[in-house]
Amino acid sequence: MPLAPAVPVPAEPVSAEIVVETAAEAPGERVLDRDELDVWPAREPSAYLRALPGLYLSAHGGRGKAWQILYRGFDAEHGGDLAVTVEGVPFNEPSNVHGHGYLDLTPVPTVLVERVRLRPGVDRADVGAFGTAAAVDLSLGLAHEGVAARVTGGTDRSGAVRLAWRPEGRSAGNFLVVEGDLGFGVGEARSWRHARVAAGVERPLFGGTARVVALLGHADFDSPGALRRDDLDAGRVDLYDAYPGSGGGRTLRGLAVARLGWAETAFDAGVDLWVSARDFRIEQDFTGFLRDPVHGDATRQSHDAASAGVRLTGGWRARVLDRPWRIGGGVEWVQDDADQRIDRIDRSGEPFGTELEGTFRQDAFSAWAELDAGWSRWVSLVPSVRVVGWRQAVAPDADADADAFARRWTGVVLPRARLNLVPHPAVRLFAGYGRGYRPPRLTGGVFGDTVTSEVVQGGLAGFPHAAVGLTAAGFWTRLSDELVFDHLSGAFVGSGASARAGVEVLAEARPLSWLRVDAAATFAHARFVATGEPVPYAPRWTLAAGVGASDVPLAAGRLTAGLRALAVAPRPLPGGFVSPWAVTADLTAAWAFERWTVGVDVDHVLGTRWVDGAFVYGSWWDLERPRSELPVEHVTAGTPTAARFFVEARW
Amino acid sequence: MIVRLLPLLLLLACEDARRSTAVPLEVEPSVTASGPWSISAARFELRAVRYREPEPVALLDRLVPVARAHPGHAPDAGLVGEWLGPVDVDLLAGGDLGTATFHEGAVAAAEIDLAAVVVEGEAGDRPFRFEVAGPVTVLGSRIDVEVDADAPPTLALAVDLAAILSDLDPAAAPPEGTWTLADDPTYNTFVFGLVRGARWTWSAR
Repeated sequence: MPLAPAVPVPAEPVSAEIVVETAAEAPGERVLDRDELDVWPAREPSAYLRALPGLYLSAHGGRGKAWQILYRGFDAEHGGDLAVTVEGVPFNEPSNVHGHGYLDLTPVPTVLVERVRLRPGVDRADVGAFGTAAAVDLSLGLAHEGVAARVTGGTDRSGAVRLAWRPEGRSAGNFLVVEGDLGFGVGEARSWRHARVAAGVERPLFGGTARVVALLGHADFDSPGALRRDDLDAGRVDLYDAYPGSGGGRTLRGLAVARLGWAETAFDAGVDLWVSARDFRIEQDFTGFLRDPVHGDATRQSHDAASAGVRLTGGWRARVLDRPWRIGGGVEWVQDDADQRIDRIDRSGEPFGTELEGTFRQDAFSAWAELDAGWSRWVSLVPSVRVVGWRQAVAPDADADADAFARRWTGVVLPRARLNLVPHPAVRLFAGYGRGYRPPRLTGGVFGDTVTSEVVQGGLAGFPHAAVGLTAAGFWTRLSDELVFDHLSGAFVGSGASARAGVEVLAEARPLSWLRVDAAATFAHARFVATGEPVPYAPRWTLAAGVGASDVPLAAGRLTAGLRALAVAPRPLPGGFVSPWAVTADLTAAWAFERWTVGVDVDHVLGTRWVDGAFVYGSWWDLERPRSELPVEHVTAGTPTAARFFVEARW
Repeated sequence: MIVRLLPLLLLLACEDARRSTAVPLEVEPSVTASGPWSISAARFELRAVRYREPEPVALLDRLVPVARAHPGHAPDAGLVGEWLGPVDVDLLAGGDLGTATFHEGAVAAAEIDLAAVVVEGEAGDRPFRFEVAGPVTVLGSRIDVEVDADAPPTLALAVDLAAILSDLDPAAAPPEGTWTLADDPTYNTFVFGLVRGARWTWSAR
């Protein structure tokens, strides 16, 4: 993300009396700043993605595996349809062996997330790879000066320590954070061990601002997998059990990014450089002994990758016909190198066969331009275009020499535009069109086609009261190739074009200066274009609500607390089944007194046993029972109720 | 308007899911004589029966209709019912096979896994005995039934031994009377007739 915001100059500023946040530039767009993040229950940065209306995160792996992201009728798997950047660096991994666009935020300490911008649709030029449905940008910074040490212990058999330092007199971009946490979780095969180090420096330089951020994170985790519904109903397993050999993994990811930017009245410019490396390994078994009654069906997926990128951005502002205009754009090059393999492993973890082995290199060249034309005081039109070209090379093994690589070039042109109308200071109309994309995916040693999406959305935001904001939007999206996970092969399979349409409503209120309330409802209807059948797993109804109290005087200290609830209505599953309702609510509360802060985070305050994910496929786990091929419902347990208590000292 | 419609839309989102149900299975007694064939024993080990739907099921028009993960990829595509053995079946006596698990909806075909097939008796005045060690699979056994979890049917399997044997020439029986050689044309004809789906029929009540 360039230092200068790539947003249009407002056609006309809204009333200064309106206190509800209006940083949104499109239907459903939200910006969470520090005050809102403090009242958002979040054990990890991924939780902030839930601020996107209609987004549901499902965990069918342990703490360390990327979430399954379900949004606006998309089953975005582990990030394939949601472009996420951290400090402007793309975090989705192209052709990760476990999932195209795999989103792993392990190296990002939650305490460093300073700002989250969530943007539905793809009507902006700077939305990059995997932004077929939406884009999220995380900015990092440490809120408080000084040293803060926190110790946490949880009823989920967990513990954590964190040390955070921001030099006195320095901006939020100067920090050092070291943290570690481990736990056993509630139930079987849920243990984890995490460690993170993050450092940042920000200084004025050459008339602009230079910023360097380095992140390193490691996670080692077990994964409980999914359970057969008939085993649950018969009492053969408990909801928090796991079948033997259900799996686990580890992830190590490091990133360093350097940015130099200038933001002046007439122009803005930026240079971003980054390098990253990762080591990823996951073992999984969804089907037991269905394919191989002797060794079992477990596989080990390995993905070792290195990436580098450079981005130049700039913008020029001027007044044309007495209206503010901005012309902006950028160029970017990103290189990804990866070695990957998939091995069949037996119950002891020993490999006995290789299903996949290969190495690839991908260079992505992007250029974009946008024109923010303030046609009148009421109208803002921003057409833009992004062009992306790839040079891709793949070889059958990691030791292949240059001659062994199969190479090709491909590219895509992505027109985009957004329109803002402000007919009245308390009413704003939005409309947007954009073409998003997923880079070509490596499958079976061959790169496939670029997947594109066409997204049209429109809506209006109204402010019937200075402290109340309402947004209603409709959206339509067509995706050229839907990816669906096949549990039998443990891989994602292209399933043809799909389309989805829906509506969403978002209401936000600040009845008191310290109190904020919000609620959102999203309906999406997703179908395959060729057959008309529903896209499996894609959510239809998603409901969310939250309340937050910031910095409320309480006794001798100040209280900050937030409660968020989420409900996802039954989703279509393969074979005519539907998932059960998923309803959960999380709580965070912290009381600060002088240099001390005590608090609690509660997962799933409802205290119920609930199902998070549901799938339909065949499996055979008990060799003493006859082998069954019949696809049946498999479920993953929702986060159980657990409380984590912390004490933090600052000096 | 949306607020007024919300409760209705939420209620519609609570449609019943496709359900699974247990369906009783039984085997009807087969004939003991057919033309020159007099059957004194017919038995086999029934290992599994798998039932498949005719095509993607379009259930009631509701907000949460049928979904398919991806057409035609998974080996279990279209599998809607299953009975798991093994159970020794006396085809002359018939019997109860317990229950199969079905998903609601239409069923069009069954695959039947067998082993240890023995059919013996007399052909004219000469004894005969067919032994098929197996495993063999009967493909394309047609069935036309709609399974409703509220009123599951009972399915009865009938094996047309008469038709299987009618393809054979009893005069071709070896002196010892037992056809077991895989390259014996009569034996092969028997096995071919045995695994023909048309010889295995289903009825529902």
